Amino acid sequence: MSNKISRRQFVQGATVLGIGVVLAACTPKATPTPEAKPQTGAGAQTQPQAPTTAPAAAPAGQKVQLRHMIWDQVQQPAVADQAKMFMEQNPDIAIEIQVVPWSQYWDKLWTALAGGGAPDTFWLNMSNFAALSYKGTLLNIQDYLDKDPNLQKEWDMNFDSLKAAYKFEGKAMSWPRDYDTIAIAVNLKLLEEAGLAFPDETDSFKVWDWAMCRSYAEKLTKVEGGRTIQFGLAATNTAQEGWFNWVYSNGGSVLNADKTKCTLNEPPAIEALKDYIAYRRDGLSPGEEAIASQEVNDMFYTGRVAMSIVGDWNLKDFNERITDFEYDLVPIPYAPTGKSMCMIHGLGDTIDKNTKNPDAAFKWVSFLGSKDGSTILGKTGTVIPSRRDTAELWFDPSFKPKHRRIYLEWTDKSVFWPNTAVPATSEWTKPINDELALAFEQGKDIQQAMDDAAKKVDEILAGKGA
Amino acid sequence: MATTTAVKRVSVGARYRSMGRMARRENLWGWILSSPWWLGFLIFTLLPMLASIYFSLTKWDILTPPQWVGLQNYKYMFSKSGDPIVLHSFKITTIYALVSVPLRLVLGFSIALLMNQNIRGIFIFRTIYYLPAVLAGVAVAMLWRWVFNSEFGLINLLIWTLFKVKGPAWLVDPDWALWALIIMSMWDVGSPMLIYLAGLQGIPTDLYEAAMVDGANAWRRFWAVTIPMISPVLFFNLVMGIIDALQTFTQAFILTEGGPNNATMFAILYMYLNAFRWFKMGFASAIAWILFIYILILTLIVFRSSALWVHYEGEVKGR
Amino acid sequence: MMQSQQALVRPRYQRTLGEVIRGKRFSQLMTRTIVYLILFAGAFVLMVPFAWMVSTSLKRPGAVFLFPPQWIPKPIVWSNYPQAWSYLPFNLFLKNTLIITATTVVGATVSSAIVGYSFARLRWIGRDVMFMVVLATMMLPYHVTMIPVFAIWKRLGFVDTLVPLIVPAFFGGGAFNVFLMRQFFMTIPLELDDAAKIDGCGVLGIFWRIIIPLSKPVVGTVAIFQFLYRWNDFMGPLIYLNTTKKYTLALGLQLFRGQYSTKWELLMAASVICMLPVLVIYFLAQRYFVQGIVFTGIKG
Repeated sequence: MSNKISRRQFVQGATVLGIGVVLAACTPKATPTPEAKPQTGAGAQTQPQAPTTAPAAAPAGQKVQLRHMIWDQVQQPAVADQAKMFMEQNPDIAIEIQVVPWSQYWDKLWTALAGGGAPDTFWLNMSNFAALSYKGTLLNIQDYLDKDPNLQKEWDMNFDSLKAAYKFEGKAMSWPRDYDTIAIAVNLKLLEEAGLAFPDETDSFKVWDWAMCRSYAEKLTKVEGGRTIQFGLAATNTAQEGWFNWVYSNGGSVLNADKTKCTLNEPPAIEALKDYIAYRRDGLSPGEEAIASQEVNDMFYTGRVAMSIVGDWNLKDFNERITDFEYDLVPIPYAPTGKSMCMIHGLGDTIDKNTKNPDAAFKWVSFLGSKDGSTILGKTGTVIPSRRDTAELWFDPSFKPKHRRIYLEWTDKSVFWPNTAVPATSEWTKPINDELALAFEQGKDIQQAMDDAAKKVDEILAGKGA
Repeated sequence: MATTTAVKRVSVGARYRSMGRMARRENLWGWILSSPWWLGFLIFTLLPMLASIYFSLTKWDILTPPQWVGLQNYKYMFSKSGDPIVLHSFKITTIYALVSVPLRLVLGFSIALLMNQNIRGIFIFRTIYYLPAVLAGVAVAMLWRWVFNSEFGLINLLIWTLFKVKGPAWLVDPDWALWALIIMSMWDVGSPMLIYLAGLQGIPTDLYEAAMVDGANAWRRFWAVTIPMISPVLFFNLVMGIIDALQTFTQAFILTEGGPNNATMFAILYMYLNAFRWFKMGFASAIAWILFIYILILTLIVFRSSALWVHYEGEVKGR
Repeated sequence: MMQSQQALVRPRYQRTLGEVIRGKRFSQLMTRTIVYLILFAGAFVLMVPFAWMVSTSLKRPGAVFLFPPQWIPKPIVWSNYPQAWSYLPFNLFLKNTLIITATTVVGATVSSAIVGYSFARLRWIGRDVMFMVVLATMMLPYHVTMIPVFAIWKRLGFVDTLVPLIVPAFFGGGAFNVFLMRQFFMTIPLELDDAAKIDGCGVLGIFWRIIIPLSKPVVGTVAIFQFLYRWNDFMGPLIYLNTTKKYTLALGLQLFRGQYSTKWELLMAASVICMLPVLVIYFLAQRYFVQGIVFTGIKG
């Protein structure tokens, strides 16, 4: 076997590869290749959908291409509907929706804003809004609003607290989109099997307190052959759909009023955390191990978890996926203080400051926030729209489940997460999450954990981080 | 030959001037043809290294210009009230390297020894054993995430079937997560095995014959002939293996992202998180340099120790 | 000596059982058997994770969480594969990966061959010092330059493109490949060069007519390893690519880790798909793999 390649072979090979390289290099940099998977309305999602989708857009000459980034696959059809309506009204603009899973969303967004390749418009939550607007990466919407009083009126239709949250130095930097509160979903079939009655709803479910919630969770937990085949309550290590609600119901808080100190190590918070973590420690709630195999929502759909703390944005998926049992909602249980509180939050549609098409982007965003755009969210039961006039749509009594209005009622009993711009919220939440993980999974004493966390948080808040 | 003539120190310029025309042309060609390399070295290695030193003395989040902070990043790394995770990550990385690399080498060597016994079907065995090494990266990491799943994964299922005991929580248990990664690295015994197999086959048989004539039995032959002859190969692969293991990133990122509770927070992973997730580029650059120096020191230690146990055929030891 | 030998090796039917067991042939046979057993066991253990992966990839979603588990799925869900493929834009990922891999393989082999030639055959001032630097760079951990190189590309506006992943390969293709090429070229007899010189070949002519045709082994090795490295490269794409459409296979695969990490059957199917091309190349070009590993491991 000769080791020689004939020169001819070499030249042929190199030429072919060379041509290939040149061709590849000449492929224009950023042309999106639309993988058209048209989404039509709220179809049953038994098949997983491709996360990146471009609703079929007529190929074109002068079309402006906008990329809109979101993280919730479940809401993608509604956003696609909004895009469709918008594109009908604005045939010169094409919207491409990109879904990036939550766990990677912020990495991707920050990296893209910092490095390049950022989407034109995207979802923001409040904690990231503070930091990003401070760093000057968001497009100032106020300028556009000032020029057109009608648009300003539209923007003002949003709930006050949301407007306040998305203003930076008095200027609107994001257009509120929705708001959400928290409740607990209950598998009615499993409830019946355990011989439990649905909690009495008089007086806003006054009877549903920590003790009752706990006893229900105990009766709903089933262990067989050393494995838990059914968990009573999914009380996992997360804030929004988790411990935050317990803490604030009990009069505790995350930070003090002027956001200089962490107060999670104070008695009301500790008491609440103790009650909450007990679910995990006593085996009534799935822990890290179980969640590594199967997500909490999946566990609820398959009946592996009887009660689950959920925000309203989940209900659309619940309604579509849950076919073999009925479920309903109860609020966050009342703390010994006699109060039940939950976290309120809302997303904003935001524009990248460096977008190549700010006018088109603003048109899109203002459409999303307009009555028409907002109505789509409400009517499809996707999320509670942020506008005072369209929010009611989500509470249409024909939507399941029966006690949907809990989300509305709890709007007055809700509180925002205390966000900061500098240092960014994500910096000081890290020690809290780390210590909570220790408390949840390694059995670290909660008081000790929160003392350690508070110390680090205070330092970071004082500006002593790296 | 007498070594009385002192070596004349000739300057570069003088050398050049003394070259003939042909030599000068060859010189030019040499520089031209090697230019891709040294240009690349300048642009992608030397300059960045210098820049990296600069960055390590700043606080920089990419979105805003760098701020000079002097040695603050370094102080933060080493001080009590600073960031203990940096040094912790070095510890984790070192444990991983010093456990997994020698284990793999020993395992690979043993299998190579077995294969060297003149058996049939060596080709098939070699193919199978080397296969895991070829398939690297994300797909494999995903596979092992599933294998180590504490409820439904392969390993715990085997443990349950064989011992009727519930296996550890692996990737979500801080005490076991690092071991999971070490076990995963054992899967690739194929690379060291191949190298040693070739090395073993390269040992001249007359050495063995001479030993046999001297009355040495198999065990003695192994220690007196095989080990010394293979020690350079062992050494080289130990060094490269350790350097490589100290730079582990992908497995840690995909399997655990440094968790649980920083039990698998490898140094480069922590550096990546600081740079590209928390946008603390200055701090991350400082970590990069300290890690680099650390790797250098470790390598030097292994090199020095080689004088003790590595045998070079026909080479003068020491220089 | 002959007599004692004759005494030991009696005809088979005359030997006692004890003698057979103590006999040389027997012990050799035993050793062989044990060796085979161990090797088989080892091979089996190594292949089990693959089997597990394939098994999971063919299960229906509920069957993944069965306990005790099914090794052979009933029913066998072949549709997991097309489903996994269309779940994410894998064809785009494949395209991007191919582009990167093809161009860097060409770039690395060509440039490392040229550079290796200059080190192996030409004499120039500073050559040996430069080669020391090459060796030193081989041991340089990549992370030291990671951030500034990123900053350079960001300044030039090439973040979120394939450019930062392709261009460096053309600058010598990596110290390691330069080293390999040089070592190999130095084994080619100088007489061939001289013969070519007599025929009137210059520097490039020698490269073209003598060195290249004889370099199939090393070119193959460099190409294969470059291919492997780029195909599986994760960190590079992770840092430089932001738009999902530009992702490579490795990067795209980890998108499964996000919202839908619980769809293990799809994840395993996707992983199998991503492994296949490498498997195919491995079986076709095994010789080069082995050769390359051996060459680097031994001659290093």
